[in-house]
Amino acid sequence: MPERELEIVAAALRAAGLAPPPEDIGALAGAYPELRALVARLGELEEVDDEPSPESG
Amino acid sequence: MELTIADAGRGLRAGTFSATELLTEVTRLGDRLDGTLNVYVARFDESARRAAAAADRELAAGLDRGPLHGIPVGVKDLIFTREGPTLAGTDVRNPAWQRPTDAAVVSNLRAAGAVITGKTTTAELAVGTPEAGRLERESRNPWDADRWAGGSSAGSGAGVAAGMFAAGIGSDTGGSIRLPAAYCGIVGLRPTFGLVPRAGTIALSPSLDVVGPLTRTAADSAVVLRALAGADGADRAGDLSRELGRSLRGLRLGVERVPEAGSEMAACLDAAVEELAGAGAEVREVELPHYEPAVSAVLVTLFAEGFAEHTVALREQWSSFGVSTRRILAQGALLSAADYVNARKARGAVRRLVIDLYRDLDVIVSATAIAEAPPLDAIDLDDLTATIRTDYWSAIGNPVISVPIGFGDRDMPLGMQIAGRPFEDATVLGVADAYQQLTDWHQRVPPMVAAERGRA
Repeated sequence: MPERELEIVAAALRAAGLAPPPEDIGALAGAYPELRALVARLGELEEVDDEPSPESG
Repeated sequence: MELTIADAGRGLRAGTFSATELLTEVTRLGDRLDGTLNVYVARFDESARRAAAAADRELAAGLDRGPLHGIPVGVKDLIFTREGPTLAGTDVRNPAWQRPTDAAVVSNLRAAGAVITGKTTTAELAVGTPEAGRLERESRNPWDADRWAGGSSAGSGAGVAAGMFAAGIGSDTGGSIRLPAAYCGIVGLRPTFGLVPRAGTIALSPSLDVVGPLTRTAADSAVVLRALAGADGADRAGDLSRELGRSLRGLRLGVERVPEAGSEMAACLDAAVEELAGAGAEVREVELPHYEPAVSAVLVTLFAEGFAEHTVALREQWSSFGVSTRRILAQGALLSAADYVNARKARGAVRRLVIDLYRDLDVIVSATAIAEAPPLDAIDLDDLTATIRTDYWSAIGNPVISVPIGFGDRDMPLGMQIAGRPFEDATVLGVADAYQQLTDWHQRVPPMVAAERGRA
């Protein structure tokens, strides 16, 4: 388990007020790269996302 | 013959049987099968008997509430009913789920004359997956009790397939109506997002969740959807039965094929498309734009919104959740606000691309899942995710129905999705109905059910 993922995940869970046991933190850290891959895939749609945001003037 | 709403309605009005006798019949079947299938988490025998008796009195007095009058209906245990608490397939306790009131859809069903027979098994909070040590909580598939009935509206799907009620009510976030429908060989409709009220339904992902019917036929789904949607929904979608019995001549039909589909699924989809083409549909191949990013957007949305819905419980009752459920929901804590917003924007972008796709099409068909129901004790979440094709339509909110189109080489059912434009639920129901007029897959009966009926 890469130390960096474990640290990121443990910190995020703490910040959210969660206190899972180590095996859950480890499992979430193991799944973290795939979660970031999901998020990265959203970027493929940036070029077609030409809808003006409601905040734009 | 299997229990359909249409057939039951004819029998009730012809005086062939009463609503009370119909309820007794399905209750007896439940008595015999539910030890194996685990369809129900709670049965409402007393209140159902009273409702059936009232339906009989009303019909005798000339008061007919319509096609659901006296019809037995099972309700997913994620949806409130006045008979008792909602457990949602979890050991987590929330005082808000204890209130003995009817959800909006349950009120609508009762007003339409339906007899609510009980609450049906759900995956934990509509998101958990079967896991070792908790398999006794899962519904089993009537076609093979060693296999999964699908999720999360498992009990509603298995119960319809087993003839334990004529319609099951489910909810669908990423496929939770369509998947059990496909795995159990029945019809499952995910209505247009926003058509059916959700008040009194425990939320998983509010920008994705819908409530909808599981039935044997598309025509029955139209009847149930009309009741679920209530008067406001009917105003928005029009007469949901208006395209039942339609011709397929000139229907512009897109087909999405995926190379990963197993040979049985590919053959069944080919045969289904041939049936539709033979009846006059104009078929062309399509590729769903940005499939992978759309599915990613659904998952990111589900994690973020699911975490938001259950944050307090995760903080205070972590160990009361199943392992898969808490690990799915907690992923929301690992996402940023920007990730969530980008998922919403991605869904909007895909929605606009699909609107363009529909300029030349009326419906798009595709596999519901590219593989049959897996064995209950060997479910791998990654494998499962790779075979399910339902998330895409959840991303954009279009109406989509799953209909049975044949069987794989293990004699397990396979399903096809028919997706239409938003608020054109009547069109997907009409095309599904036309397909069912051409085929008899929906009339097949699981061997264990046929055997029980033979013994009766």
